[in-house]
Amino acid sequence: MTVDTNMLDAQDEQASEKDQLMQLVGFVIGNEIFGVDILMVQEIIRGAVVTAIPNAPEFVEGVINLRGNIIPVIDLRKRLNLYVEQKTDDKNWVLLLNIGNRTTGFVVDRVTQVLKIQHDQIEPPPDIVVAGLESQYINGVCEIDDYLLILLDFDRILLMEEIRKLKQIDNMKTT
Amino acid sequence: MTDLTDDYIIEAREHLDEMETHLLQLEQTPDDINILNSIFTDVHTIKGAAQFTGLSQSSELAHRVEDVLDLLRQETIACTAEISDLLIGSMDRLALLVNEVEQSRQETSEIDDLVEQLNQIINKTDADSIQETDTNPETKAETDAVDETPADDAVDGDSIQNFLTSSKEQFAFISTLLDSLKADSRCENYCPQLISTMMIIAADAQPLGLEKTKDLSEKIAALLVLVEQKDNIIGQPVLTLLNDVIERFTVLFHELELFQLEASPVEDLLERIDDLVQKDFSGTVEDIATETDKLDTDAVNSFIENSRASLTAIEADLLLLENDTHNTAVLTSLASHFATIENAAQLLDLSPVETLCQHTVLLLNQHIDNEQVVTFPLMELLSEMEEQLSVSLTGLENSEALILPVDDLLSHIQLLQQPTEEHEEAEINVNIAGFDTAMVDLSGDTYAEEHDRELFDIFLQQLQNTLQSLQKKVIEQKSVAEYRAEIDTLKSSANYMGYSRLVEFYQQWLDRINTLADSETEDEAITHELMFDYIEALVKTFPQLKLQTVPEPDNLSPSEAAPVLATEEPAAAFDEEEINSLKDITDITEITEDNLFNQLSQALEVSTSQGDSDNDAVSDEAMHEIFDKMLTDNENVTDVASKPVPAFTPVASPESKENDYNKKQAEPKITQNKETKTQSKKPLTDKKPTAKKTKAQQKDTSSSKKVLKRNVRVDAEKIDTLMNQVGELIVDKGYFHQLFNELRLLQKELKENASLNSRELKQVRAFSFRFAEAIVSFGRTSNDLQEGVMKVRMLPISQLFDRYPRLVHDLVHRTDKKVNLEVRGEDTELDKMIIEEISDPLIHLIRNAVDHGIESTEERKAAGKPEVAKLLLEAYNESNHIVIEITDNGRGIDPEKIKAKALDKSLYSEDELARMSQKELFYLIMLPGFSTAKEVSNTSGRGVGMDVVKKNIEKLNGILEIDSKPGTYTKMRLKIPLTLAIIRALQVRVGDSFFTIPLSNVEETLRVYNKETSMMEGTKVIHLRGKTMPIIYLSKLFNIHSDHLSSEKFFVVTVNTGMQQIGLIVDELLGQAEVVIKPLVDYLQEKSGFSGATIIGDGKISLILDIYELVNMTTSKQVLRHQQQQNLKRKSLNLEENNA
Repeated sequence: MTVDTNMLDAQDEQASEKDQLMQLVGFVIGNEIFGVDILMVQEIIRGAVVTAIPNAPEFVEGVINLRGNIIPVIDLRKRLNLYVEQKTDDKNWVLLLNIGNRTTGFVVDRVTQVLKIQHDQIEPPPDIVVAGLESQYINGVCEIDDYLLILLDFDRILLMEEIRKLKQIDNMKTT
Repeated sequence: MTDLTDDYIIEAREHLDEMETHLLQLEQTPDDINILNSIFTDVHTIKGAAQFTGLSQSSELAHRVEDVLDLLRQETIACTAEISDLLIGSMDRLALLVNEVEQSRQETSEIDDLVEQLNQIINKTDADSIQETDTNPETKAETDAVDETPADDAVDGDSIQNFLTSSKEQFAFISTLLDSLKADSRCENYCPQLISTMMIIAADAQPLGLEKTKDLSEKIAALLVLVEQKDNIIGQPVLTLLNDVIERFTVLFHELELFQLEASPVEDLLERIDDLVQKDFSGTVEDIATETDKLDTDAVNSFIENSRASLTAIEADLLLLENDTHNTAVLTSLASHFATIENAAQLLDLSPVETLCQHTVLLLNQHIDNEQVVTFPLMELLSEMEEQLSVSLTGLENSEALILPVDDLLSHIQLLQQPTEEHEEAEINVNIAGFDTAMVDLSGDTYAEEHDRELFDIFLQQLQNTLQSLQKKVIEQKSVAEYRAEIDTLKSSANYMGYSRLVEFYQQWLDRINTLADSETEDEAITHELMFDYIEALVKTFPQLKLQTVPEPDNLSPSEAAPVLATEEPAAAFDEEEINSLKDITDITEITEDNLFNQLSQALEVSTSQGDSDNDAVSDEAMHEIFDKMLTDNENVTDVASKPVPAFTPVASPESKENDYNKKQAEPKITQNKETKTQSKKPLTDKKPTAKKTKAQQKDTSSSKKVLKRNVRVDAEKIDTLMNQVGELIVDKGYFHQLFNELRLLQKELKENASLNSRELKQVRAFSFRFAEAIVSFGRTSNDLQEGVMKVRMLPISQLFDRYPRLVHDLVHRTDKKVNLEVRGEDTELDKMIIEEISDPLIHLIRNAVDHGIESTEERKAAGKPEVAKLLLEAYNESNHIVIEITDNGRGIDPEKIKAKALDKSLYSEDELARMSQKELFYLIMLPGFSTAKEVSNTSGRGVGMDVVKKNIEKLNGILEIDSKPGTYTKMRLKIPLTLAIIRALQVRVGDSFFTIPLSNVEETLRVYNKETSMMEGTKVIHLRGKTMPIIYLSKLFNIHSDHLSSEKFFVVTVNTGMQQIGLIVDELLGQAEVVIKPLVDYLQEKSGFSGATIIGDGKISLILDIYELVNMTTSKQVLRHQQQQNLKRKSLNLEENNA
């Protein structure tokens, strides 16, 4: 399930010709469709064994062993406080993203397809809450056919201070 | 260019480190000339390297430091605290500059302030001496003038300026001396100094071509030597003369400064000196001529001192030369240094030294003139010279008799000199025989397996075969045409290998044979000799060749009976006529008047004269005798001076000749001989630390090529990557073990359940047995590999410890404390990463010890302790850990003070404090914000330190222990695992989760029944050997479902944090394993109770417990609970009150 890197190279060349074109990996959580820049995606794995970490923030699913490297995995649903009914699929999808030179895994419901969109199709996030999601985590939205694709700001999602604060709150709760 | 700068940075760092050590030593013993010299060498090298790299600031600063050091060395100024501070400051600045160069390739820091201060010292000394004398106002004027003259004139002007600057210092000194002389005419107090100063001036003047100055100063020095010899009284005539000379010098220097040439005549003065010598000292001259042995001790000493300085400079230059073989400037400076020694030796009539230096200077000048590349043999020779001279100086110092194996060295010099001389001659003379023309010089070339090794071997083999057959043919006196065929073969093979010089060499050989054949002189001897010469040259070039001596045919004449590879010298000894025909060769023999060699020749003559009568036994015996003698002689020599090293063998040292000559008998002895040399060298190096250093550097110079092959500078990151890979391997190993266990289970199951017959079962068993074997072998290899990689990362802790003398020095500085730092076990090795990590904590602990622990001198005296406090830094291994102890014999830690402070800060109640043991009290100082210091000083007292130290040590899975006795000592004990990446650990299971506890924390494992436990303040405790220990459920702590929560008995792992013992309740103990620590993302690691994770056999992740954090968490939870309970109580009280 690894994304072919040659494809990325080809994408680079294309981009220089008409750099308006952008490739996104689409994924689904609950009923919403999200997108992330394909250049950030390191690989996508399914059915990874996640080891839980006691006393970790709630949204941290745990860690996985990726060929000898220990990679943290974050439950995106919990991180973004999305209210969706519990997923049924027993095999999880983990999207491994390269954020700030670090690999982090994100548990999503399903990875859909690679989408090509024009840059000018992307609109700034609306002020109002989209799909029960605070707009601070959104880079932009994009209308494709009849649904709305949400581009997430993963740098923001992994912002350390915020995680730390959240952890403290968690700790307070447990004690 | 970048490489050069990098080299400079590395080199400069090394020298700065060394310099630091020496400077600190100097503070202890300010008068130690050896230390001064070492510092001087370091500074000089840095200066040279900086100049070479084009770093003007560094070289300028180093130059100034050098000047000051020079003054110190001449004892013109005393090494005061002020000066040593300044020197240390300058050193720091140099280090700063080096850092800047490393980062930005630029020198940004200013050095003006330091240069100014250094200049002040230099000028002050001058001014002082002038004030004392007041007779030489010119000198002062000169001083000013020199200072004002910009130093960036022409090169020549520059060196003259330097000369003037240094001479002016000398003169100020002389004037002082003369002044005192007037009052006190006994010259023993002043003469030696005068002589040495004069000699320095003479030596300085010579390379600059200042003949007049040189002549005059030399004459004066000679005169003074005579005076010394005669009656040690400087009479009025001499005094007047000296005054006149000084005046003339002043005039000369003035002229030099203005016109850069010496205008005034000096002949009148020279004559006057001569007259005086004639008149007053004619007797003495003869005395001296005959009794050179009775040199005046002082003169000799000053000679030794001066020569030492020159040698140090030579050494530094040689190192430079090593890096850049084309550098004529370095060669020139080398030549001038040798000339200095030569001049000085001349004055003292140390003829061996003089001749040796003279020849070296000649050789060097030749190189400079011809712009020749410095070849390896030359380098070797120069290093050897330098070493020989320094050793003989030591000898001179001790025994007052000069022992110098000059002849050997001289012959080497001659050998090196010869080719070039001949080369020149060859251009002019067209030699009839074509014999005297120089061979193509192969001596500089070395042929090694730089190409394909196999190819080179074949080449060598062929060379050897051809040469052997050629030798045979020569002896059998075959025709020239046959020689030609052989040489042609050689030439083509050399051509194939691409050795152009060698091809040239063969071509020349062929040409000469042709000329000989054409000239039809048919002089057998000449053809013969020619062939031998060339063959020998080849053998020298390829030391790898092992030519067998061809047996002598009986009917040959004595000269032809010489074994085939005998060299010219022995051959020359046989036949007087041949000596004449071999003019240039006999040149060597004439100069090589080595006793041994003569004996050898004689023995040969004996043996060859008897050779006809088959009297080999006699010659053998003679050879034995000679070698035995050589052996003992060498031993004698090496007692004082080490003989030329075997490195000379390729350049035809006597040994090699004899080796070839009488191979079978000689060989074992020669090796033995060499061994003796190296052995006898050792005690020598041990005795003299300075000599040892010189030797070590020498070794660097001469064998740097070999060293390069043995040492590899590797990027630390690469090693880390390798280490990670090894980590993976260890994980795999664990996996294999697990697989094997599964296999055994499977086997058992098969045996019980499946209906397998005995044969099938046997097969399964056999397979599992082989599998086990494979695992064991795999495990062994991977363990070795792991150990190997670990060792690569291991560094001696001296890297760290070497920094601390300076630290202590700085700390004690300007306080009224005296501390003697003692370092032990600096060879102990530990992981590079740990070294980096513990550096800061150690600095802090040392700071604490000096600042808080050690009392002021007054206080110590009052307490009846020795004034100088002792600070001991010790490292040693303890099983898988390294222990570092910092012990001071200061005031110790007062538990009462801690108690008071703890109360003051209301950290604990009085009750709690009273219950604490002394050890527990000590640990309180590691709490954040805890400081017992009354005042905050600039070094410590803010109470941040120990907290941080503790955290840092714990991060490394280390333990910090404190032990102290008030008024006596404080001991900080750090126990740190040898490596960070892989640790031994205990694997445990709680519910479905796996955890890993570092073995360093584990005290023991227990099986505890529930009834053995009791509750205390809401915490489960057990009584263990009279102590109460809290135990906690890991499952509760981590909110994991556990199957054993309600069971009657459970496993407890007792862990120790150094401060506290607690028990952890786990479901299952899985056993010990080596685990590779993998870091967790920071937001997971922080305050989570985990220091990382590791991957166990089947790929599952096991979290590594951070025991310290865990303990903190539990205690803080306890505290919270405690508070909550109190709050509840209070609330209920309030409620009750309200109700009431």
